[in-house]
Amino acid sequence: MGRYILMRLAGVVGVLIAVSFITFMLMKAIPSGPFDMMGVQANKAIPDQLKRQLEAKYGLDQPVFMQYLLFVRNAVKLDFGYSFYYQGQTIAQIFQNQWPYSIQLGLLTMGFSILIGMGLGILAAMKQGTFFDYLGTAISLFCLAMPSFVLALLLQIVFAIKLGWVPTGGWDSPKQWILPVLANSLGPVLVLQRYTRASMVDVMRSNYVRTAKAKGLTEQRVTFIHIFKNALTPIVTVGGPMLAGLITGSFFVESIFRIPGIGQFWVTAIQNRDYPLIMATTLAWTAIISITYLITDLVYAVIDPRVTYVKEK
Amino acid sequence: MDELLLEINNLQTEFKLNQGTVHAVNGVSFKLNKGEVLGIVGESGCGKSVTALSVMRLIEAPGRIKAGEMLFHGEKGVTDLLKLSPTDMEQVRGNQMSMIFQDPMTSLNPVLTIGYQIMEPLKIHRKMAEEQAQATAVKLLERVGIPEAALRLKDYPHQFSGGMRQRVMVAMAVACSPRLLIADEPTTALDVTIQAQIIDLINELKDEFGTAVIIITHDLGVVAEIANQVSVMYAGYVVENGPVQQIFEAPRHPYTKALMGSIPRLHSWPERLTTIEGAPPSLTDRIVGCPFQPRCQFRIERCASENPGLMPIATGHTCACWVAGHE
Repeated sequence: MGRYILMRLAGVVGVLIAVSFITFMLMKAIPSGPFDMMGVQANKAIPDQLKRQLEAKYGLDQPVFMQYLLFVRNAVKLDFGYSFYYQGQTIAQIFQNQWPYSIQLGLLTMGFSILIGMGLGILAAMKQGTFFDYLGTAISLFCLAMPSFVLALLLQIVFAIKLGWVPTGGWDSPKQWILPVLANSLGPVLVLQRYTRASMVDVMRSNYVRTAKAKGLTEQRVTFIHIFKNALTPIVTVGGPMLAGLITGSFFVESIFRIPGIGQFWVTAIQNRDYPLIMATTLAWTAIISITYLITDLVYAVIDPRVTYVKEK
Repeated sequence: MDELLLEINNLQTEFKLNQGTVHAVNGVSFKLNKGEVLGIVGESGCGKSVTALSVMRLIEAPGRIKAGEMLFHGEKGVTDLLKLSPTDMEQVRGNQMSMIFQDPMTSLNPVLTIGYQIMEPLKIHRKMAEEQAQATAVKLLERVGIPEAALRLKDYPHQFSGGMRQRVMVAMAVACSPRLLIADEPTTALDVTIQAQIIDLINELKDEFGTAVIIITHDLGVVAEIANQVSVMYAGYVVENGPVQQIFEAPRHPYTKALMGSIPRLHSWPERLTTIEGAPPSLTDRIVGCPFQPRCQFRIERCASENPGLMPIATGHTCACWVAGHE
């Protein structure tokens, strides 16, 4: 098992190198650089001489390949340098200051979605064709049709402004967590509800479920021990990458609820041509999703004894 | 005097589908004494398995038991299984009656250990503690011929061969010493040598535990070997019922006769085996008259309009045929 994990981690390093190279070259290939964008935002052109000075300062006057090697040398030490856009802040500082908020929002959203999404999925599967089944379908269709930024605004209007139960934004007290988590969990609830229901229904038709019933087990025991454990594999398959997406923040939800998370940086880094931040966010995402897939694969082996990553002797 | 264990009267099970209602079991009746073996035979789709699942009350929607009476002589006197609440039925299933299924490859839960699955009924019905259940499970596995039973408790079904899995199924079924064991084609998915071993095992355990057995099969050889009584089913009806000797040596119903004619025999090797012209009727149609009548070479006028129903023709031998009954 240890050997398998090491092999997989070595693979992740390979992926990181490939992704960093491709991203770096693509980034350089888009027209206009970071200082042009500053000029655009300040509504005046930056003088050529000043631009060249700036480029020399940040090493952008060197050949692209040299720039890449320089980047790799520093990135190995997790040093991505200073942001071009957020003056005076290092990339490490930005991640340190902002990311914990996104992680917290993501984990809360995941927990809530598991509870609601899987709960509704199990209920719908057990009570097929009844009110509970249609309720689950209705809720997941709502989640599918409703964009999170629209729901976020609606929630603000109803619960924060009209009823005044919770603040409109911020992230200081648990009360402020409620609305963002609700708005953020639309997608996860939808996916988990549908997958859980489908997977449970699939397993319910198995011969071994009939065997379990023939043993005189209660319905609860059959559902939660004999069906659920078998139904988990497809749920884990979608759940792993879902978690990766959630802990990297949400652009809309974080902006609307004024949560100082990292979600917006993924988007704005490109607009701002903030080279160091683009590289950092891309590689962070690559690492997170790769590790998530590794963990997902390891979880399969825990759920299903037929899955093994060790050569049997 | 033989003691009665199970009495099925006029059992009817149907499946309501969009294409119409499938009348899978149309008024099946039979009796089973304690410790005896009843073989239910018939071709695929004749309602054998549905009958078995009905007795266990494991028919799932869109299927339902429409009518009938299933009198079970249990520990606490006679109960009609059809009148039990689902919770009360759970007390009977796996405890007083249990079932072995056709496909051992898929009938065990792949993510639970063999030990867990065998211990489950012991803990639930016999209220055994962990260690006691474990010791009993080891004994059961040893009894059904699993080597190194204690070690194998922690193994998962995929680590066992098909024959071994069926042994585990048998061990699980007899765990609580049930009064009735239903074996639904227990050997169909196994190869011949393993088939014989499983049948022998069921035969031995039946005597050991004093369990009555309903064995469902289309393998007449299995029936000849193990059964005392035979019910022959056709299109959801029982067409002939009797002691195994009589059914094999002097079958009365034309369908049973044809069925016997289709067995290859060692000493009198006919040129060709008997086949039955035509195909069984569609179970979505309402059958008027005798269900076998369109394919029967002995049919008379009355067969098309009136279902004969089971008529006694000898002691313990009944047959649903206008012609056979009046020979």
